[in-house]
Amino acid sequence: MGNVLSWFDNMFQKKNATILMVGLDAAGKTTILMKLKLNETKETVPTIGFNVESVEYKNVKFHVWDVGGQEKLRQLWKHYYEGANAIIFVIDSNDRDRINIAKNELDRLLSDPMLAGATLLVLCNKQDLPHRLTPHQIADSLQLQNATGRKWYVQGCCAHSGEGLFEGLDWLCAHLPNSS
Amino acid sequence: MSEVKKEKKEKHEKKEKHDKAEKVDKKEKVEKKEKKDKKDKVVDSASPASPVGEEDWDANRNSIEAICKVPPNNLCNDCNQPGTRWASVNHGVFVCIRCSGIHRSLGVHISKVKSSNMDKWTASEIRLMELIGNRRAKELYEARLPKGFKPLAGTEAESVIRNFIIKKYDEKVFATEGISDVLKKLYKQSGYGRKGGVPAASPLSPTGAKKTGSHEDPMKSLYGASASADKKKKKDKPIEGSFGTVSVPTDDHDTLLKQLLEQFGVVEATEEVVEVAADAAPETAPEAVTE
Repeated sequence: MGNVLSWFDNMFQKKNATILMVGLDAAGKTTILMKLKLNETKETVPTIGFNVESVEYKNVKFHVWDVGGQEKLRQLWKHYYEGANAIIFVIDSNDRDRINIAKNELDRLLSDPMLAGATLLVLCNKQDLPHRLTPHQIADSLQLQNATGRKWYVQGCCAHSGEGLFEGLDWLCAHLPNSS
Repeated sequence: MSEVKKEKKEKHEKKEKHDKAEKVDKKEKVEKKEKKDKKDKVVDSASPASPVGEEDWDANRNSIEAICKVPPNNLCNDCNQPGTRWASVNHGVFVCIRCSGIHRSLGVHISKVKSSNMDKWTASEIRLMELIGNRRAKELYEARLPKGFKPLAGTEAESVIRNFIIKKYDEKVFATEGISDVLKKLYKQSGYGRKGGVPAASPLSPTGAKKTGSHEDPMKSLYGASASADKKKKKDKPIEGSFGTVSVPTDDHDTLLKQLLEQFGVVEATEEVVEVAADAAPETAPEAVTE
C-alpha cells in the first residue's frame, strides 16, 4: 500500500533538479536560458558572474545556473558544483578552433568528485551556422565514450529557433539521478 | 513561500562564494604578478615570439589592458561609447560590452570576441591589436561610409547598431577596397594564425596547420620521402615499417623476420622477402640472400 502511495507521489509531485550550465564563452548559454525561460530570442551581452532561472518542464522544476564562460570565470565554476544534479555543457558547434579547449574544460569538469553522480547533457549549439560540426563529430572529438559510468547525451540544437532544446530536456527528465 | 526564501538564500550564499573566490583569485594574481614581473624582463629580451605554451599570460593581460585604454581605443569602435574591455580580435578593434554581444551573436567565423581582462591573450594577438586598433580600423572598415553618415552615439535602438555592425564587418560594405588582402598582410605581420571564415585544413586540431611544417621534415628523414606524400595514404599504411622489424638490433633482425614470415606462411617465397628486407634495412639484405 505504501509502495503504491509513494508511486503516486512520484507521479504527481514536482521533482526539483539543480542544473549547472557551463561551456566556453560565446557558446550560447545565456541565450539558451532566455529561450527556455521566456521563449524569446534576446540579444545578450557576455555574462560576468552568473544567471539563474527556474524552468518548469514535464513536472520537473529545473533550477538552471548559467555561469560565464570566459577564461578567468572558468576557474569559478567549481563553486557551483555542489548539489548539481546535472550538467548542461554548451558547445559552439561553429567554433572548430576551440573544440579542443572545450574538451579540456569538460574533462576537468567530469573529473571532479563533486560531479561524479551528475548526468551530462552536451548541447551542440549553433547548428544553423555554415561551418558547424555535427553532434556526432563533436561526440567523437570530446571522446565521450571514455566517460564510463556516467549518463551522457549529445544533442544538436539552435538556441535562436529553439530546435533541440526541449529534446535535450526530455532526455534530462528521464535520466536525472534518483536522489533528487 | 518558504521554498522561495530558501532559494533566495541559496542564491545569496552562492553569490557570496563567487565574490570571495574572485577576491582570492585577485590576491593570488597580484602575488604571482610580482614574481613574474622580474622574470619578464629576461624572457622578453631573449625570445620575443615565444611558443604558445610558454607565454606569460599575466604580462600579456597587462599589455592588452594598457592598449585598450589608449585613445581612440577607449571608445567603442562601433557605437562610440566609452569603456572598451572587449575586442574583436580578427578585426583588431576594441568595442564596448553591448557591441561585443552583437559581435558574438554573428558567430566566430565573422568575429572572434575576447575580453581584455578575462581571457588569455597570445603575443601575436596583442601585436595584431596594436597593428590595427580603433584608429586604423576606422580607415579600413569605414573608408566608404555614405556622405552625411552620423557616427552612432550608442543611444540608438539595438537593431540599428546590429545592422551597422553586420554591414561593417560581415558584408564589409563601407570597407576600403582589397581589405581582405590588407588583413591577410596584417595577420602575417603579427603572426596571427587563425583566419576568420576559412575552414581550417584540419578542423579538429587548432594547431594542426602550424605543426605540419615542422612535422614533415623529421618524418621524411625517418621514413623516406614517400612517408609524407599523402596524409590519407599514411593512415592506411602503418608507418612502423615492413613487418615491424625495422627498429630491432641487426643481430636479431634475421631471426625475427623469419619468425614473422613463418607466421604469415610466406617462408617459401624468399625472393619477395629479400625485396621487402632490402627496402627496410639494406645492411641486412645480403645475409637474407645467402639464406
